[in-house]
Amino acid sequence: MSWTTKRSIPMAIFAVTFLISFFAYYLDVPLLSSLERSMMDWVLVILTFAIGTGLLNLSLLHGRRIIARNQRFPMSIVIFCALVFMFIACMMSSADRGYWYGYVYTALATAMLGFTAFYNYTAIYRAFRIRNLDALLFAVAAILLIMMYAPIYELLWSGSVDIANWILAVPNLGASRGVILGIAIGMLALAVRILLGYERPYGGT
Amino acid sequence: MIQSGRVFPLALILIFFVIYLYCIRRSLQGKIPTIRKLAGLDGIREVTGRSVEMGRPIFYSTGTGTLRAGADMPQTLAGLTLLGYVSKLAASYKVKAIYWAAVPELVPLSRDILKGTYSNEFKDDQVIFVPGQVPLMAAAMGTYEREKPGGNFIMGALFWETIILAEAGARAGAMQVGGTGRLYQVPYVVALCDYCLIGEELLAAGAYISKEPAQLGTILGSDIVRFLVVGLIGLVILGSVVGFDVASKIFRF
Repeated sequence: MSWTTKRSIPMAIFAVTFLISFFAYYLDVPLLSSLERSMMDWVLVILTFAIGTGLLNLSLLHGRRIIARNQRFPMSIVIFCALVFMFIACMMSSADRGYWYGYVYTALATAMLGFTAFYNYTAIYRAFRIRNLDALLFAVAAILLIMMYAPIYELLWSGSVDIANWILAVPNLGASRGVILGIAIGMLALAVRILLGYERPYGGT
Repeated sequence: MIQSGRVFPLALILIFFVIYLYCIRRSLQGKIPTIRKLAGLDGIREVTGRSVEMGRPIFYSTGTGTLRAGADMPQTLAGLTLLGYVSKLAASYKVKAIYWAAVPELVPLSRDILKGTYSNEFKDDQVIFVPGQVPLMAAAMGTYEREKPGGNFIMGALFWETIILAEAGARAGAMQVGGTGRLYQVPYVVALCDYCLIGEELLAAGAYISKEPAQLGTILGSDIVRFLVVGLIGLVILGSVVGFDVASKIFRF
């Protein structure tokens, strides 16, 4: 595919779908609403194909590692077997899908999330290293908020809750709204750049 | 014809669009605006250079943000634009850049981007599909410990995986650049990354790195729009002082 085609086709698809969604939101035209609903169906179809490419990527990556017998090939065998097993189990019946998903994947995912607590502790240590004034303010605000959510500190010093509430309601809320406003304007600018073909996140490097 | 309550927003967005077009035209005519330095984006070169010196790979993630959710999409697209820039730099220095695709639709897109920058040197294992948040976290924790990356980039619509990706990178000794517009993840990015892009900085990154006049023009347009929005907020405050509800009478017209 030539570079021009590679650039112009995605740009045209983006422009058409963007304009349909945009005007379907603002205008009361049944045709636009119906087109938008059809587009949503297409999103699901494309997503299904994308999952296919993802699975292909996963299979090729780990298949090659198994064939090459590199250092990590036993882990690739586990992934490959799990992939095939889950695929077969899900194809057989929905009850099996619920069983394996609920009792194996969810349990593993929960264990994984529990493990992340240790990462949180070291991250907190890293965050609380006071290297400059910004870091000091960051640490003080975080300590006060921790004190707000732990009832024992309210017993020791009731003022901590008032200060933490003020931090949340005044500087934090003000800064958050400023960032949200900036993001909204930034999204608009990005949409204009992509719509006019100046910014090309899709392979137009 | 126009949906009830959306007349004013539509008019406003069309005015904003005209402002952007004017700024782009002005910029194309040679009046290019200057924009302030963004340390987070200048840091990308430093991080890539460090990876070259160490002979270590670079890892890149746009988090679990999709191209389907309205608020996530622009950030993910901005992340992909930066993936193009990072991989171009990495390819020119012969450093391996590896992308974590936690969302299926990003697999073909990221492959295309990396193939474009690496050409014949592209390897299939440069895009790793990790289907979902927990697999991404698990894969990153293990891989970073083993591979000890020189650089770690986390830029896009980030969710809870931020802390794991950033902390695992920090533990492995990687130099990190993070950026997101999702408020709940901003503190983690600020605390754990060496360079960070907050909110709009991430979305403006494409314009900043390309230095194209038209793209820089939209940054000026954003500033004008910002002043208008602040003016409208002032109008609401003024209206409430004199007892006129601007928000419900005009903004929701």
